[in-house]
Amino acid sequence: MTGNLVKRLRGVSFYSTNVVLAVLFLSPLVWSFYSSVHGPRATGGKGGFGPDNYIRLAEYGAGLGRYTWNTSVVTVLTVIGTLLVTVLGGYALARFQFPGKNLLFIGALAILMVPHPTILVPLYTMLNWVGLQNSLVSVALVLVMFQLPFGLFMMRNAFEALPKELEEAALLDGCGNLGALRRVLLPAVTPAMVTVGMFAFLASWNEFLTPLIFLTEGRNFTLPIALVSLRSGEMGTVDLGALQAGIVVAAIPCLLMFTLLQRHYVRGFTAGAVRG
Amino acid sequence: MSTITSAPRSRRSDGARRRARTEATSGLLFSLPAILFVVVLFIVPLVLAAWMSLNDWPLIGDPSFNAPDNYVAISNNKLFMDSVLFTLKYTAVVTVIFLAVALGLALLVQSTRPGVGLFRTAFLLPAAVGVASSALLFYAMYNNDYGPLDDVLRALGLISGDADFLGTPNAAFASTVLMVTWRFAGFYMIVLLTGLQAIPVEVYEASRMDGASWWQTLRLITLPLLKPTILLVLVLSVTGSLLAFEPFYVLTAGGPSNSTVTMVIAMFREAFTLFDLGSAAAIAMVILVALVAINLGQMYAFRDKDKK
Amino acid sequence: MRNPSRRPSTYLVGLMLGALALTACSADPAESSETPTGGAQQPITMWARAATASQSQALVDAWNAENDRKVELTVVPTDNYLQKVGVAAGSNDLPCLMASDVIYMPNFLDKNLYVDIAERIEALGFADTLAQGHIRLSSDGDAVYGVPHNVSVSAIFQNDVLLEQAGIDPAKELGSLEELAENAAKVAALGDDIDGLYYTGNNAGSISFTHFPAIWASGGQAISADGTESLLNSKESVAVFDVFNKMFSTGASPASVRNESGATRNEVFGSGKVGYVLASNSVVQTVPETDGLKIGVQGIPGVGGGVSGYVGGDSIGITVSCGDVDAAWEFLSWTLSEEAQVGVYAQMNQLTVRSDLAENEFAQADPRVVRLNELVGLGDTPKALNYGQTFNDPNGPALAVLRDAMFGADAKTALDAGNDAITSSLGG
Repeated sequence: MTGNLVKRLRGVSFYSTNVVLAVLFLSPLVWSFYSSVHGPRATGGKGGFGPDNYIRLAEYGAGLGRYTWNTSVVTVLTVIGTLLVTVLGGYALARFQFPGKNLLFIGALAILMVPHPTILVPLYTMLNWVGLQNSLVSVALVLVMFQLPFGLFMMRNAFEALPKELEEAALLDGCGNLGALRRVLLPAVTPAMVTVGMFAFLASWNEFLTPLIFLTEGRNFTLPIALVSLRSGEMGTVDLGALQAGIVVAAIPCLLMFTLLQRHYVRGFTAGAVRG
Repeated sequence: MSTITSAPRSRRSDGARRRARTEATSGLLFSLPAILFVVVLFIVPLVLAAWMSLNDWPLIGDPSFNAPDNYVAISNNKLFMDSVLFTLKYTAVVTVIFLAVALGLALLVQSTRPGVGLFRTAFLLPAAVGVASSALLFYAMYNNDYGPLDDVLRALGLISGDADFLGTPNAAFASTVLMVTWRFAGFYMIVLLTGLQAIPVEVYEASRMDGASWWQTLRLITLPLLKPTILLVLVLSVTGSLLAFEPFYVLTAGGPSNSTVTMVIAMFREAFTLFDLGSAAAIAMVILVALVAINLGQMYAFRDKDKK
Repeated sequence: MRNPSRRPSTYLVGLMLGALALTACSADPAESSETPTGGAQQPITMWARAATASQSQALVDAWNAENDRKVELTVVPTDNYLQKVGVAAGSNDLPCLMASDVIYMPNFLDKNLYVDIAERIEALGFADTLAQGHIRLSSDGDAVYGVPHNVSVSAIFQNDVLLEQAGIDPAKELGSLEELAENAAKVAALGDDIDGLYYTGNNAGSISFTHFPAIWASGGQAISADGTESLLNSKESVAVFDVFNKMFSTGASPASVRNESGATRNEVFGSGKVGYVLASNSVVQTVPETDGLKIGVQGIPGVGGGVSGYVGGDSIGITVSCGDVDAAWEFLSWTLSEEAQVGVYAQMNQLTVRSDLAENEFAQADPRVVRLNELVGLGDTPKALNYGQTFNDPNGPALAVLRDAMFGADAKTALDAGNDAITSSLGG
């Protein structure tokens, strides 16, 4: 009886804490959405609500579709590239002794430690020499590079946390290293991969400076550049309606993705049970 | 490791050495893509940037070697020198806040109760907004004539009269910290959550059977096992904050009276307002060396003392 | 190519990058071909900052509809324009045509980004009608590197609805800065949600745009003619900032102007709760009128009378990276024609960059545009090599001084104390 009551009380405090926090975290976004459909710029001077901010955004420059497509290309390439490089690299860092291992890890971490504008100037010059400027691929390559420190660190941690017996069993079964990685280890590090992939997605979906510097033609620009262009006016003025509509539009795919990826975080617990 | 390998070394066969060699080959092969990315897209441009820092590098025209002028000039760059202490203070404050808030959130939402996914999404959603957009959004909220924040606070009885969110150095600092906490807490929560989930449930069960309290479990089991992840959060937060640019550039523009200028804002001014790319590169090199040192220190402090 | 000795490593890098690009991804839809800025049938590339891009876009669209040789406009976010230019210039990768906020022109000239087009401008036959401030800032001796691309002017915008409520005749011309202060106080007295005078008080570029004209109207100067010395501690300047200081301390200007970097300025004025705002002519296009907001225009008066305005906007020139200067000029000269100025700009309620076309049929339809065109004629554009890093850069020396003058204890003390720092930045 008392146990039940304690459990119920715990549940109540759990949910009320979460709800209060969720309100705090979501309220700026809710306000953003509200202001994006309310006010003179949303309605063209009339009262009430209106879609004008979204219409302006959709019709801006080369069109919302074009910018979304460009951003999607960069994002997909970045996520795939990041996962490929960091899963292999993280596995190597966690499981193999090889010369230059520590150097690679420190070198990759150092990527975090250089102000982006500094590295972008010589990178731009370099990519120019090899004719890779103004391309979405080069933007994605650079973004993969920026994701390496986090991704390698995360994947190395994930592989290190796995018991060695797991792959040894697979190796005894006649799997090669690659086979062991694919069949046995990958399922066990899925939560880490989801996190790395998700952050690569967030970073590339929102990245502003890299595409701005590397892309020289407006029709290749990505969504964040278009959104910033749309909202920035003379003398520091900002079209706040466009800002808020832009925040809502850019957040929708992220919202969808978080919701879809939720279950992978729950799976981490059950993966632990299999190991026992 | 040494205890196992040293004694029987003489008897170790060619096979063991060959195995070590195959291991090295496999390791290199697996890390080859990462090595290529690091070397081609990072080390090479970094060397170029270092070369820039040794030259007077005009926008157009040939650079001329002038080392060590750009480095000497740093000590006379008042904006940058003043920014160092401020950036360190900001980094210390937000790193503590990030770690505390994110760990609290992660422990809260690692539960498997129904609906917890919604809360995770709610906390993570601000990370979907670009940093510059977040800063502008908060700027708008902080404006008393346009934003709702002062009205809300007044209605709750938390303030009386006019709020001044950005007017004084302390207020501007606190308002920016609030904004970045909102933007990044969920991000670090997910990192910690991923680490928490790598801890096998059996460990918790064993600890519960030993009659450990929640606090004991956290202190003796969870936190030690979470060490690699906490280190990752520390590295990310410390480097990210020491390189902070957009939050202050957009929200406070380094003001009032240059009281919130960060190191990168000072560097940015050298590069793209004064168009002195050489000096900017020199500042970047100094920042890089300092950051590598700080992070190696952190990793040393967090090293596994009883590693294998 | 900056350093030919790096060639061999270049090939290596290229090979690696190429391999990476091939293996990582082969489904790129965007053609990543080179884009030389010249070439026979290549489009003419052009950059403009986002703030004024609607005007550039309208010109380019009208040109492209009629011509085979297309112009391809890239809109760059305003705050990142210098950064984009800085990176591209280093690789000789500037667009053929590059517009720039006019106040940066002396600096861009100093960096040798543009080619001299003085003779071509002279051959137009109407060179003396082009906005003279722009030409002055684009000139170095006899060489001229740019022409006006669009013109903006600072002015006072008023909410006629609120003015009437406060018993002020909206049609009456403001006689002096003091009168503006009196009227603003009356409007602010309407209620605690209503502001008298609003402006951008945390952005020195904007403050110079809206407050320097009051100094000029008072008969003074903000900086010396050669642009190397600050005259902000002059009698006229002190008198002007003194009026703003009193407006702030008495509540005729609300507390929020102190933190206003510009981002929320138009929204605050658009809410209809502000009597007067100091802003640029873009307010007429970007702030919609509502039942509670009818927008009127006034020139910026000085202490004791007079009127002036700051003529801003963008200049445009042909860069040293341009491969086909003739084609670029063909487009540029067309943008200055009556067809473009009246048929495109005036039709969208914008100001013309030529004084002889200011009184066109479209401007006549809106008395506010007529007034703004007059203000362009009365206004001025200060020229200084280091203008941007002194005033427009938030971390430059001017912002703290000007804010202190307006929001501190006393304008004179602040301007006396800070004048040297501004002078040394201008002269540095």
